[in-house]
Amino acid sequence: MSLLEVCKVSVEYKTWNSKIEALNDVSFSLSHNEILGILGESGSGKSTLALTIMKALPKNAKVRNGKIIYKDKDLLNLSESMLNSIRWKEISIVPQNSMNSLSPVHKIGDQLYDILKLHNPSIEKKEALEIIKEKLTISNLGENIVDKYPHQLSGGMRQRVLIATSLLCEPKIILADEPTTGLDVVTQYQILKELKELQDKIKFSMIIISHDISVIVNISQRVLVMYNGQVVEEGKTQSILEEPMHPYTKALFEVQLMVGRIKKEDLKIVEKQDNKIQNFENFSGCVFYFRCPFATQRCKNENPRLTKVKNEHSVACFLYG
Amino acid sequence: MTLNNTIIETLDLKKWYTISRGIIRRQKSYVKAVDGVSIRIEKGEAVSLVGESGSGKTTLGKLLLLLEEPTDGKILFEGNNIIHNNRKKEFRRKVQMIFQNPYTSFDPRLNMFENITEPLVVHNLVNSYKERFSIAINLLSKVGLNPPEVILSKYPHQLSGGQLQRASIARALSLNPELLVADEPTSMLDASLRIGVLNTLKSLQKEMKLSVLLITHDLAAASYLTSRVYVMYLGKIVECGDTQDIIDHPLHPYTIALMDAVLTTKIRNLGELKIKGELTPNYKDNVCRFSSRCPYANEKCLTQEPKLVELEKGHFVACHYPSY
Repeated sequence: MSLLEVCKVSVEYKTWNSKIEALNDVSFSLSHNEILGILGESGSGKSTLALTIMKALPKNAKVRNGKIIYKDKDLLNLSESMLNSIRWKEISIVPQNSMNSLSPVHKIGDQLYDILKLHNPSIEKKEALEIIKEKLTISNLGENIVDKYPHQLSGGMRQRVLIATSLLCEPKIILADEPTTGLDVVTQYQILKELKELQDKIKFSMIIISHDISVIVNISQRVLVMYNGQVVEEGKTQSILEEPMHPYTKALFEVQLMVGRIKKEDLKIVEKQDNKIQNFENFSGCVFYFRCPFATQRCKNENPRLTKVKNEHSVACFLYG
Repeated sequence: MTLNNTIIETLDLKKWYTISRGIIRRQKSYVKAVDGVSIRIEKGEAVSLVGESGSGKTTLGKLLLLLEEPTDGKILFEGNNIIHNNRKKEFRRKVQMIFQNPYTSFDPRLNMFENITEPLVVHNLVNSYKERFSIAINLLSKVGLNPPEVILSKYPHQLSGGQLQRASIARALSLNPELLVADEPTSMLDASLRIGVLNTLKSLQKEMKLSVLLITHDLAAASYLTSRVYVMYLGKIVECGDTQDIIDHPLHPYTIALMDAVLTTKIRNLGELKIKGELTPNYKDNVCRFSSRCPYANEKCLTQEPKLVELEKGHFVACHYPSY
């Protein structure tokens, strides 16, 4: 039984003169205690997906259709007060930009207390402090952090504070949006390791969003590859590693840098041809058509559906039937 | 090594930031961001400077361009000390920098044409608008921004991060520099764009015989682009040598940890890294700065600071117990 079910969600952003489709028929499910990785470059709609699940989209966004089922309820149809009983208590988020997500003029302890108080108005200050200290400790931070201001902490510590924040109300699902972007390699390694250990210890489901394939494969059990608002490949991490199918996934693997692999020849590029992708409005073909080396006439006219190719491994590409 | 082959060399370069405390601001302490660093870059060579955030690598990059005034030490550019030299303008033409964040390194009110060719105007190198335009077109096609005419008329906010970073390479190249300092040019970019920018740098370096200093925390990127590596920790160089040598057998425990922390597409068990905690400033004399995080630290490391010594040909390391 899956914990969270996302069915055919489409989201569009309105600008003053046009509409931009950010998500197009995205479906997936998340099981209990599973880490699902969502891989995609900037602009692929992965952050929009996280915001849709939290129902925290900006005003100019509109969910066109779809359902997000959590505990037999459709999150997209719930009232704001009902949602507030789910947000943070059931589903919480580790936002992307750790530098800007904390208030610079409040102590860490006060900021965390505010969140606890909001979701649990009857809580005593002393009890709250106990919970805050406990969450900070399991996130590998000292208890003295409660009296510090964000500017006194390093980037890695701030990211850990945000992880502790997301754990405050003991949610069932945590959405981590690029939790390590902007951190250096050593800190990135430590944060990922800690996230994985936490998940092992307290048991929650997690959706981790990143543009970095090496981050995704090292932490998640299942991977969803997104491109231009669509899921183009989905499968168990092991299966995708052994046999990436979609040309985009393959390309992402090829450009992976490795220590010690000093190649004489240049690595291949899968670069965005921004100037070509402008006329998506009347284009009905495959989303990867403009960058795909294997594109055919059929890809131009028809958009491939996500189809199962192997056991629990689906791909949206005509190369695989 | 003949002197005239070296483009830039620093001798015992220091940058100490002072912190004043107390009511009359008397008690002074220092943040020794760069503390006695000697590096050398040959003509046409690509060198990288690797270290965590906080290790002082960006400060060193800024010192090399004289964007910061050094506290002590010398910077020799083509054999001449450039600190307190009256030929700074000429020096500044020959040395250019690419900054970490492409989104904030362009003037948002100028279009790309004005942004990219402004250095030419500052240095009085163009006579006519036509000349300026043809140089701009040439630069953009060099860095792979197509079509150049369209890009030139755009404003920075209309371009993507990868395009902007290429444009900043173009701007840096507009003065035909001899040395290019690239400060984390790919850390703000997507993984798929990263390779593109690195490839551009790599081919330009070969073609134009540029000297490049790549500042990065990612040893994988360093090994892809450069032939020699300096590893920096808390203001000191802890290891340096040929990229291949360092990757095949790193000697300093810090370098080993940096390599260990690079994730690849091979799944592995995320075990303990060999180093503990995070970078904590520790500027005591006669102490190995890495000792607080080093798994092998003992008495000697706490009483005597290791010097940079040549253990193998061209491979230097500052550690009492190298090559574990």
